[in-house]
Amino acid sequence: MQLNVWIILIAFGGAGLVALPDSRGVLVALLVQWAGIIGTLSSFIQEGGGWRIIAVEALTALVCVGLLGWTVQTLHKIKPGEVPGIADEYEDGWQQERFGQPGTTRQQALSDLLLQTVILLAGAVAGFGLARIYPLGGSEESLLAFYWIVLSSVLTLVLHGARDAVKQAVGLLVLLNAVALLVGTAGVRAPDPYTLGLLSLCRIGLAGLLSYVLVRLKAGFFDLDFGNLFDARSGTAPYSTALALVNVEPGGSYSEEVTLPDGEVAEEQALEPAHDSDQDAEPAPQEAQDVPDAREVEVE
Amino acid sequence: MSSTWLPAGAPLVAALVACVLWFVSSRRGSKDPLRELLQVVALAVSALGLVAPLFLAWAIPAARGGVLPAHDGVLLCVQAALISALFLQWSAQSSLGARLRIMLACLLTSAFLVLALGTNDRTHISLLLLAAALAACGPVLVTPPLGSDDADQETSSARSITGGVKHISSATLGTCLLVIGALLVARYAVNLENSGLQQLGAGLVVVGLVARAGVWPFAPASSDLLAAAAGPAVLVMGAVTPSVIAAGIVILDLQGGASPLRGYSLAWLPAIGVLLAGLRALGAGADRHAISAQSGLPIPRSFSSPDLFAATIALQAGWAMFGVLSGSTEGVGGALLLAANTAIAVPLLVAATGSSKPALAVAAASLLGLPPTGGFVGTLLVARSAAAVG
Repeated sequence: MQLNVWIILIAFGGAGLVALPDSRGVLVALLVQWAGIIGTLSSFIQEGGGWRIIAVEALTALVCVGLLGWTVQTLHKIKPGEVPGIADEYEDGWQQERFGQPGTTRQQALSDLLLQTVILLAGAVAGFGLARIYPLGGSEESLLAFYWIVLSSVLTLVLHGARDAVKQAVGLLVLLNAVALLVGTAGVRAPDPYTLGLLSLCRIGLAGLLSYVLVRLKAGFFDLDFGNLFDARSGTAPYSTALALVNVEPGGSYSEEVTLPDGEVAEEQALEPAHDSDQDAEPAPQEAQDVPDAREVEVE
Repeated sequence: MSSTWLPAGAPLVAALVACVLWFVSSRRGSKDPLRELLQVVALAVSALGLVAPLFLAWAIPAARGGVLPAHDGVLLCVQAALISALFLQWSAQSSLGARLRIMLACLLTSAFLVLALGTNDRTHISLLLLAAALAACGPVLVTPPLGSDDADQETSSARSITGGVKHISSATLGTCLLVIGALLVARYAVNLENSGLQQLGAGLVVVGLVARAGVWPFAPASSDLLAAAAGPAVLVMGAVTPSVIAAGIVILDLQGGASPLRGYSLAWLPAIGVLLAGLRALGAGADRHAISAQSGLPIPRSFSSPDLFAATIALQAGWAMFGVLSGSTEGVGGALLLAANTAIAVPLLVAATGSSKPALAVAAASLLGLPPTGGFVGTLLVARSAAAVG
């Protein structure tokens, strides 16, 4: 088995789908992977009419990625206050998530990077293994490409699909791309125009519908995260206030500064025990005095 | 294959005419009586487009809709479900855009289902059923955002989006399994050296079929759609699901002749689905520990209707898929009857929710397979096939 440039594109595209956090980066990775798919198809389809398969695939790629990319780019430019009818809590929460994140420690960043690298390596090795164990048909290279595409889609959906709407859309699209590649390279005969048309129609329809879902999420919750959608579905109010222990060291002081959305540093406020108006109220039990001070913070 | 283009083309032509009428109607003022008249004409054209495939199949034998004679019966019930969804949603919605969306969804779904039931190719059937699922979810997802401060409306809107996304996701996954499995079965059908791959393909086909048919736990979207989007719920569960069951007979090559899938049994899969649907129905209740804030007494337990209905529909789908996978004549016959029954009972269930308790009871009893409703005969046949298999 030789790794040609198309397989490498598919590999890098798949890795980008799983690893990249930014929506636009994910779409670029999708485009890279799709280019690899088209190249793989062109390498292994020798029969007459192979140009038709490649042309349909290229057109489908342009339409799907163009649709998703245009949607994501347009939504990315929208600023808070420009969309009417959105609750202030959603806009504040979006700003808090985007600009108010406390900086991650070096140890956390390293562990995240290590975990992602291990997952990607495991996926790559699994692709090789599956291609050996389950030769579905076609050449070894096309089989490896198929498994890498499927694994990138599955990892994207499993790791991020329940939270990130863009990654969910891309994951489902990539799954259909894998099917299209298998139909083109491992079928008993070359796919007829009807099959090509149906594959293309289903992917374009899927991209169109999921693009509209992105628009609705932005218009309703100002975020492309599924968290607010699921909260609204269950009737949970967004961004409610609650008591929480936040980065508290023994003795009650903050271990690091907590910055509020408006840029101010949160002041430490020890909660006073509730005083009953009744003069005969019993004093708090001794155990309560040993509890570290609690801080009142806004919970997202 | 070419003979099905005529009955499938009728809904597409009707969709085109409906779009033109909508465009003309939208140019009229809101108080212009012609605007309402054009909308009614569009509705009539859409209904005609849904009836046309059946009429064409009757009038022109060469343009028969289904591959099997029994498919025509299922197609009749599916078209009835689509017409029900059209009128149900038409009466519930007043805006021009909402009515156009449901018209197009019904007509496109009809066209894809007619094509799916009129072909023998497994890949084509799988992709056409996916296209039908996407068309059925269109009215749920392609809707202008409400921008309302009402919490109930926000919850309903969120449920409809969630249901649509879940359904699309499960349909896509099921379709991929179906297509990949079908490719393997076609490639290794007579290859004795790679019988493992053939079995893998058959397994993928069965799992994909069960997932597409909405057997539990592959029906995550049902309760959300039933709660928040009545019309699309009828399209998905009343039209697409019965078509998947009917198409499964062709996919598994059960209409006769030698087939690598005949005799391959994963019938225990939908049986487990039926069990899970029952457990889900038991769990479709309010918090049993809920206490009234005013009186301090426990609140009487109430059940979530959408969850119950979703579990009931999944139960019938599980029975039908068991009948299909059993491979026996009785089982297949029972499955087709259950598919037709689902297409009739689901619109009745949705329409009767909140309005008519007797009709709701009849629909529920039919989905449960209780006598003397329509689901009883199909359930009996599937039960007999199960006893014969055991």
